[in-house]
Amino acid sequence: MRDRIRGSILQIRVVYFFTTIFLVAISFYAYFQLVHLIDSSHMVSHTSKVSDSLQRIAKSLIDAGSNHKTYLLVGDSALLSKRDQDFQTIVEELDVVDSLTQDNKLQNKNVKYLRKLVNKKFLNFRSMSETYQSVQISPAFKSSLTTGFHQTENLIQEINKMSAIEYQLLEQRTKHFDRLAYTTPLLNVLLSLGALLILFISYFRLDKALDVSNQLKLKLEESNLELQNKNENLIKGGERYLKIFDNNPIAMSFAEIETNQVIYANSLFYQSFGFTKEEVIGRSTEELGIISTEENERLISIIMNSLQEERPLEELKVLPAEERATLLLKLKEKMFENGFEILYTKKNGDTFIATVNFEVFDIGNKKFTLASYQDISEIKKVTKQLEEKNITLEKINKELESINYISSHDLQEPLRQIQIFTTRIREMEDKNLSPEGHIYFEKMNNAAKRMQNLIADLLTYSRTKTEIPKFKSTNINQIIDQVIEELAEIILQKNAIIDVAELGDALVIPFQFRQMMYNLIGNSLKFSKPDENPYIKITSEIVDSSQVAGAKHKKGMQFHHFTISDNGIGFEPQYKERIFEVFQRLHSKHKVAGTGIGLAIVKNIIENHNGYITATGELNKGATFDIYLPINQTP
Amino acid sequence: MKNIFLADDDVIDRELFEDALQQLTIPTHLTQSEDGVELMTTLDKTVPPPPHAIFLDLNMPRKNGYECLAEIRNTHKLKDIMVVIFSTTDCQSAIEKSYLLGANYFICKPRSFQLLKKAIETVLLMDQPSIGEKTSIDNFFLSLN
Repeated sequence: MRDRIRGSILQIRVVYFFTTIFLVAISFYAYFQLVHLIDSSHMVSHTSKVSDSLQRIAKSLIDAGSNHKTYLLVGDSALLSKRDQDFQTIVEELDVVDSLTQDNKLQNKNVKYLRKLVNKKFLNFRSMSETYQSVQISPAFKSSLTTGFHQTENLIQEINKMSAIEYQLLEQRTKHFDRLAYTTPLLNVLLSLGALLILFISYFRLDKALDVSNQLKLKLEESNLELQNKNENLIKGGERYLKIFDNNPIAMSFAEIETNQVIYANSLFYQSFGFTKEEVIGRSTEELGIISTEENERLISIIMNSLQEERPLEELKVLPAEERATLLLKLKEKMFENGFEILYTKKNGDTFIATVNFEVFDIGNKKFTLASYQDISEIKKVTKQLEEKNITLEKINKELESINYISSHDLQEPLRQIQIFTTRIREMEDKNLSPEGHIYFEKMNNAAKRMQNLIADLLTYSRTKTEIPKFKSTNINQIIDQVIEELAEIILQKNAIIDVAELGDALVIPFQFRQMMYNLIGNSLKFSKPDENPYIKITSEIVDSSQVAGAKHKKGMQFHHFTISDNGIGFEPQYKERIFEVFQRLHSKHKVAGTGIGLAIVKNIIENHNGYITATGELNKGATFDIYLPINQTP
Repeated sequence: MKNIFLADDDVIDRELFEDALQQLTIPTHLTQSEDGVELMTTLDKTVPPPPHAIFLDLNMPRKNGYECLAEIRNTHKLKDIMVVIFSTTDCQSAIEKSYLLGANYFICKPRSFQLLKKAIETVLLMDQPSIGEKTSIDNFFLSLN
């Protein structure tokens, strides 16, 4: 392309070059021709001048002869001077001819000879007139002769006048010609120069235009190249997309809206529906029969409902592609946003549920749908299994809870009856019992008491797990007072000091909070050192979530921080997590009476309050429980 | 002679109740029912006159204590009778539910015979609540210790 442009430019330049040379040549030729012509014309006029002068010489000679002859007849001396004048004219004209024929040797010679002849003739006339003797003629003849002479004289004068006019004209014309001869070549040159100038201007214009067009062409070429590259990339991209489409792990089909025919589908589509490529391409989903009649009815009723379309189905089915695309988009917006489940039938009659989604595309002036079908049968199956398992689990859980509750409750009845009967025996049959019998009774009573505690704790534990918590703003000091009152006997017995700070109000589940404090204070009293009076300190403060150990709450959230610390036997630090687990006891039954449920209940209650609890302690150096409860409870 | 009704499915508890009642010096007549259905039938037959009090266990077959309580409070001739819940449980939700359904007192079955006698005696010595009067929630649960 670029070479072709260069070639055409070269051609134009060559044409211009030769045109210029041609023009210059023609100009020169015309100029020289003109100059030559002028020269020739000058020659012609020169020749005519010479012949003019020669004629005048001849005429003057005749005149002189005539005058001389007349003088001879008439004897008028005026005629003699006229004759001499004529000779004078001849000499003058001879001078002219001589000057005119200076370059012509032959004529020059002739002129010299002519001059000799004229002189001889003149001398002849002179000698004739000197030797002249007047002749006798009649006066009448003389008079008519004189008249004739004058007439001739007048005639000649008239001719000379005309000749002078002609000569003057000739002079004028010659001058005009000379002027023309001077200006014409100049004009010619100027015209040539003008033509050349126009030629150059047009050449440069053309060159410039060519240059511009050349640049444009180059640009066009570049953009063409770019386009070609883009096209290639597009084709490559298209192939890549096609590959992605083909190898997609979800079945996909590409169909034209107007005909509803599948134009393309990926491998998984054929695999999922059990058709071959040849069977699918060019056929509609209806023709393929992948949606059963029942499923179709179900879908149509759902679709009609969601579209809220007043037109009947038959009318909708034959809508032009444009309107159908609009309806499809509306449908997509309404129901397919998160996919829609459809039951499909394979070629072999097997069915599967797929989540379907689609997109409407314009390609050229046609509309297409790209649909994806994700087989969710397996997911459905697993989900169903999970759901079933969940239901079973929930049922088992509920059963367990109710078994826990009922057994705890029902266990209490016979135990209580045993306790009542032991008290009755001791009241009524005391005197009949031996000392051993008393001891055994006492042991039996203790065992029953321990069982009672165990059942009570289990019951509480199960309640804290199952009861729906009700939060209430409560004065914590009042709760602690109630607990201390409940524990009054053991406090008195152990001579314990309980140091309670001003704790303020908090949003708690009152009954559970009381239970928790009862367990914690009870624990501190229970696990006191035998040789030291128990000292229990309870304080509270408000802290930010950043100060709460293990808290995952958002920043700026505030917590009540309650601290219960004692001077009891403590525990080994490695057990700080384990003590909150149910039935985890750190001390043997014989040393301290505990059920192993108390702190598990505390932990449950803390969880019900969306709070945190940590225990810190060292063996024989007391224990500290830190409780963090959110100030605000979100339901 | 004070007429007392007792509804409890546990035969030993009924016997213990009867023994404790006999050992009190207050002259009483005890009518026992094995469950809620029997209680309601007996009440329907014998009232009026209304008894001094009904001791009502919560956990009973066929018709439980709550159902009986609700029915008593919704039956015109029974609605003013003193109902004392007499249950093994001392669970807070049970206490609250009983209170809301209109029981007069709540006693957790004692673990000694002495306390049992004391509980029954306390109720017998109580005046009939005036019509429509409701026990305050603080006095509703009778603590015997």
